[in-house]
Amino acid sequence: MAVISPYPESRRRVCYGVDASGDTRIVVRGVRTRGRVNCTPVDGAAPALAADVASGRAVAAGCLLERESLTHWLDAPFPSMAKAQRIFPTLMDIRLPFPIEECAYALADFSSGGGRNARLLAAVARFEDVERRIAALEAMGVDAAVLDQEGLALWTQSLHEMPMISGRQAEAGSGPVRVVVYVGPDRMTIALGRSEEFLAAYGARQARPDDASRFLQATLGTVPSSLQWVFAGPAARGRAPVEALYRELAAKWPAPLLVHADPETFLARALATRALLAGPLRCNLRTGRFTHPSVTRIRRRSALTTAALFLAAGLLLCGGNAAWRMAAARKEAQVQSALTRISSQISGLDKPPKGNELLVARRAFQAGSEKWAPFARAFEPSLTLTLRELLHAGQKHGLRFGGLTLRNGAVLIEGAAEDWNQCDKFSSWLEREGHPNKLERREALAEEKVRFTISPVKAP
Amino acid sequence: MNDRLIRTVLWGTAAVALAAGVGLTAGTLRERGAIAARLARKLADLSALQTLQAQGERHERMVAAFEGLENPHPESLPELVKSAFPGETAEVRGQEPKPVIPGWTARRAEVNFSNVRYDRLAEFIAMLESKRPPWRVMECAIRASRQGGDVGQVRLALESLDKTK
Repeated sequence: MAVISPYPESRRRVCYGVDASGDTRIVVRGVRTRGRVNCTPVDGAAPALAADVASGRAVAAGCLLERESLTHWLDAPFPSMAKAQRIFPTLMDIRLPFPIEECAYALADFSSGGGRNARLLAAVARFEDVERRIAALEAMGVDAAVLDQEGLALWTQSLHEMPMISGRQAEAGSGPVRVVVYVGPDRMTIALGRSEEFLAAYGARQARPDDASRFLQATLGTVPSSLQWVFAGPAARGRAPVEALYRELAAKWPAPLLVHADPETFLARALATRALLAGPLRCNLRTGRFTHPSVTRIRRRSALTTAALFLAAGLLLCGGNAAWRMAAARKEAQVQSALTRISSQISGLDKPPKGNELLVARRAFQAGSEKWAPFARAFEPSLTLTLRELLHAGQKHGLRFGGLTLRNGAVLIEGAAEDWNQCDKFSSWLEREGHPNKLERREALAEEKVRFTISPVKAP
Repeated sequence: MNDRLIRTVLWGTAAVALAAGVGLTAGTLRERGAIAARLARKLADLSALQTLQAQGERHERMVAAFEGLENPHPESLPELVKSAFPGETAEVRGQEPKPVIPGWTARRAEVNFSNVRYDRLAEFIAMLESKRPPWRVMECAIRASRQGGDVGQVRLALESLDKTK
């Protein structure tokens, strides 16, 4: 079941529900708090009502009576609500005794049921009835932004205040039938449903049992196994006024009698609750040229707000991107400037080629490195230390050097040792001192010594 | 009409701004990797250049140390050999001076000792390197004497720096 809000979601939490018919006016003030609506009866003629509505602090909701409008279930050949809405006028037109172009309508329910078809519930009223109702309310000083449909309002409020005991029944077509009967000074309205499903509604100027019975017969056919009569309306206060009607109805359609609490304000409570809380079967027949200016304003503001948000998002994205790109470009320019400056310093070129700053600088540096080498060599550790260490180490390991050459940190030694291992130890010591080397040994039998050569190798 | 125009303009501007924003964002996301890679390459080049620059500055400091010498000319090598090894024969052979950086040349020479004690050799080298500018040993080749002991033939390749102007 679709859940619709008849009034655009807004900051308004207060709604005056107005049950007006003829000269009678029953008004409640509904206040939404934490998802619930608390209704208080108020004087409908009080200037506070008009002032509240005019100032925008509250909204007023009235309804088209059942006899001024109708509700109708339709089967649509599409499972899509959008398509069903588009062809609704065509579907509905053939079912009405007057052209659909002369009617205001609202879709109160849509259910696809998972199949290829869908069911629509529409509330329809002729333009002249809508105009008449709006004028009647305005004559009472009520500027109603919401024009509900009486039958639907009675049904949903009855379920809201007196839920079906077992909830939804397992199968469609089964479950208790409830008949909600509103009895007022100038009318009787019946809303009929099975379990929580609204079936149909009927309105008449007088409370005649025969009319009600005929309506039930046409809608239900046979007497259901479980039936409830639930009464509301000004005439239901004190029960006695409706008991006569009930007895006649129960004779053909036996069922217990139930009366809603505070029955006289029941419809007004229904209108206020439905306007403030989203829920099933909501509708507002002030559509098209009858749309209330406040609704138009809210929708326009909402659309403008949405447009403004899109604009802000777009500007934010543009701004963010521009800022990021500018920051990246600035950073890159800084680095490029440093590259050019340092490369120019090293290479001597005024404008080193872009992208090759390092290459030209390296080439220039390497070309000049030979010229700097003597200065660098002047600051290297003295060869004396290496020579002293070598001579001392040779003595310590029992080696006798025949020849020793030191050049650029490389060591070439030839000599003799008393035994094989002494050469190994000396070679290892040289490695540790940062002189990678290769050791070659051979026995010199005549001398009973080991001849060795230590030659430099390049480090890997 | 005015209100309608305002709404039309607002929605139109919003659509353009949003489309531009989304387009720019898509472009930025697409190019982000390339921009980051380009910047990373430049930063790596910059780091390498800064290393070269630091080396260059080190060279300049070295030159400055020599420029600051009171007498930026190396002492006569034959005289130094004679004073360290009086009475001993040692051959001193000078090589062609080689220009290095503008205003400086590298002087090279070879000293050959036929018979020198290693300890005295070490002292001699230490003395040469203590001069300002120093005579640095680039190569030292020792051939031990057949008689044994810490004596041998020695060839030293030496280098010094001389200011030409």
